[in-house]
Amino acid sequence: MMKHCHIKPVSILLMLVLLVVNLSCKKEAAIPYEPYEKPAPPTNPTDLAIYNIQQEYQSKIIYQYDRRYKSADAFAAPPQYDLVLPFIENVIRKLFIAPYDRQKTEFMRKHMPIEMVLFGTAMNYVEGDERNFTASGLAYGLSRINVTGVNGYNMHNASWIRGQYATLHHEFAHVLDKIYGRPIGFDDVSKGQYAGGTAYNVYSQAEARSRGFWRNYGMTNESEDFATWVDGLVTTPKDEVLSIVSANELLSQKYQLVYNFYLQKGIDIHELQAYLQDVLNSI
Amino acid sequence: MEKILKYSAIFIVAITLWSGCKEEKTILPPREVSEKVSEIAEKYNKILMSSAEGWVVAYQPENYQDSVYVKLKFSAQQKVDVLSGYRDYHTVRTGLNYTYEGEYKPVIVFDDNTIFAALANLYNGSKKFKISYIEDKDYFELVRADGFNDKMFKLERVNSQNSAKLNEQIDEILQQIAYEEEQARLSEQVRLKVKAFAEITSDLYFYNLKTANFSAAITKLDTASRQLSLTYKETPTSAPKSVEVNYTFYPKGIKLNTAIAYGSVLVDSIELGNLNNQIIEVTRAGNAGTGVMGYMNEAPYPYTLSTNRSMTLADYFMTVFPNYVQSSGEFSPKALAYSESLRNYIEDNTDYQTANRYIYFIYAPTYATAPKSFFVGAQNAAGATGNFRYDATLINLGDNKFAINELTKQVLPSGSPNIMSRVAQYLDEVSPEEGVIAVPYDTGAGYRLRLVNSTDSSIWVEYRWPSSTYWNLVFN
Repeated sequence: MMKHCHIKPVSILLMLVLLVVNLSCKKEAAIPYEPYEKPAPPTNPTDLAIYNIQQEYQSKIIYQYDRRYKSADAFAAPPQYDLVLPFIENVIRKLFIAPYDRQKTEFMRKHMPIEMVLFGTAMNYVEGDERNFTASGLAYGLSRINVTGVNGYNMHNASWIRGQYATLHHEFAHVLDKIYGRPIGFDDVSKGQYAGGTAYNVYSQAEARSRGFWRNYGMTNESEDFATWVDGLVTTPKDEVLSIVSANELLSQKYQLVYNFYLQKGIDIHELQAYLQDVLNSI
Repeated sequence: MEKILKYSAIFIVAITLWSGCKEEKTILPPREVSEKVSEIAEKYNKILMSSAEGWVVAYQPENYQDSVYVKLKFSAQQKVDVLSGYRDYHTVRTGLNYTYEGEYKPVIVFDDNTIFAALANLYNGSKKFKISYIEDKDYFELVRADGFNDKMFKLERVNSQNSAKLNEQIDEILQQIAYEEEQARLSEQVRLKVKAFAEITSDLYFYNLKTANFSAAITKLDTASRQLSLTYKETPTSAPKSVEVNYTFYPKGIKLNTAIAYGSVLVDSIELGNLNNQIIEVTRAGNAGTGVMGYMNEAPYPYTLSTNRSMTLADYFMTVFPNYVQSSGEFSPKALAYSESLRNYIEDNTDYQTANRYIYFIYAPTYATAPKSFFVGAQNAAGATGNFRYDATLINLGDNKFAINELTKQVLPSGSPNIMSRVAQYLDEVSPEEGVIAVPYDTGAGYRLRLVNSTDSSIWVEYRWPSSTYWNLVFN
């Protein structure tokens, strides 16, 4: 006769719990820790120069062509590879980084855009688009600048050099604008005087100046207004600037605001202009 | 109280003026140094000070062709003694300041009175460097902190190699300084020589620079403004050219700041030899050969007619001029003495007086009435004109010279004794066998003719042309 063994339901439940607990506590193999190994610096001089700038300024210079770096309706050619290195050494370092860092240590470490994308030609918006214009540079927020015209690289051509640094400092002004905002009151100086729906280029230089703009392109909007002032100041000797801005109160106000904006950050923009002019004079 | 108010007012005015005159200075925000960087800097300072002999960096600014060795000996309070292989900074400058900047990396900044600041200004360098210590190799890396480039300079402890390099550069500077001092000494000798030369005075008519291939009249030698003015002709038939050039001294002579150059002639410097009496030797004048400079009996070049440069003044007188010239009364002091002696002789030995009329005439060879003659005009006691006329041998010697020294015939005024030999003596005195040089003299209202003794140019007699037809002719 079989003897019935009575197991209480509570016991069964307890056993099941123990089993689940046992299973859930089963140790998985540990994920091995692999310390981050810094990749070796590139060996070719161009990439090494980019690497060094990235290390120093946390800014990446991109020269490989990628259509996503421009708008779909724009045309631009990639930079010639053999011009990238001299462009970095002689334009980006000497005409863009150095003017600021000479005056304020680590200024560019803090402010350089995260990416600088190089294009060989200007950015042409020409086909099937009512915009139909050519851009020499573009700034995307505070993170990226598109730099054009690399294929025209010629350190004996004062016009090209001046154009390059005017563009770089113009685009960089957009970056600083995004980081800090334009000087308080700047947008009010020429309020109601912008081109609005009208094309800026229908206004003469004299008209633009009378409305407080450095040049008529600044009439596009407040952001371009600010950036055109900056490219104006970095390409015009101080005496000339003072003479220009003495023409009317609007110019004078904006000049003071832009000048002080930079000064507060440790940069005397006239000194910056003088340095760039020295470079031009030395070619 | 009144005094206090008065002084207060003066003080306020002074303060106002002082503030008004203060140079405008841009005030930039203070430099930032992060705590992390301060800690690193403190550590670096200890390492830097640990080298009793100091540290050496071979630093090359952008626009300098070489590396400059700089020895830095760091001490407490962020002071540094600096010695470099760059001129004017080649002796130790002690107790200069340096500081640190930076939020991410330490940046060492040297003061404006350091070699780094000097090189930054002169050759596009930098006085601030990112500094990092390479512990396993015991040196510091310095990289310009202005982003201009990423060239690295090693700051190493003083060792025999870098010391030798630094000393080599300093030796070169000292040698250069010694050389320059010697050059300066020699240049000073030249300066004194030129000064002595310029102070020479002479009665000789011509003051020239003459070398084998270059000849010019010195029209001005101003030792104060260091200017030399010359008038020269490129060829005997050229028009004269005048130049005013500044000069500087060099150990051998003077360098003309603007060279005189034409054809194959180049006079860019004048090497000076001995100064003898009124002449200074020219041992070299550019590529124009050797010669002399100073007062002399030779004209710098033949004076020619402006409208016909192949016609010298002497040629014109001897072959074209159809008239006579008479003395203007102007003589050089020596010629005047000879003339006065003849005057006295005439007065003592004839009845003719010279008080109212005493004049010389020369009739040119082409003069129709009495060609080739010389006469002395006088008056007798009654006031009547009496001319002592002599036929003379007038010889064109070429090179703008002619001679009038031989008298062949005498025509005396009535009752006069023979004075031919005495007149011949006078002519010998003013006009030697070697001839007289025909020299134009510009009065400002036309030209006159000066006959300058070619063996002693301190003897000259001036003649007047007979009409404006002649005195307006330009010979130069």
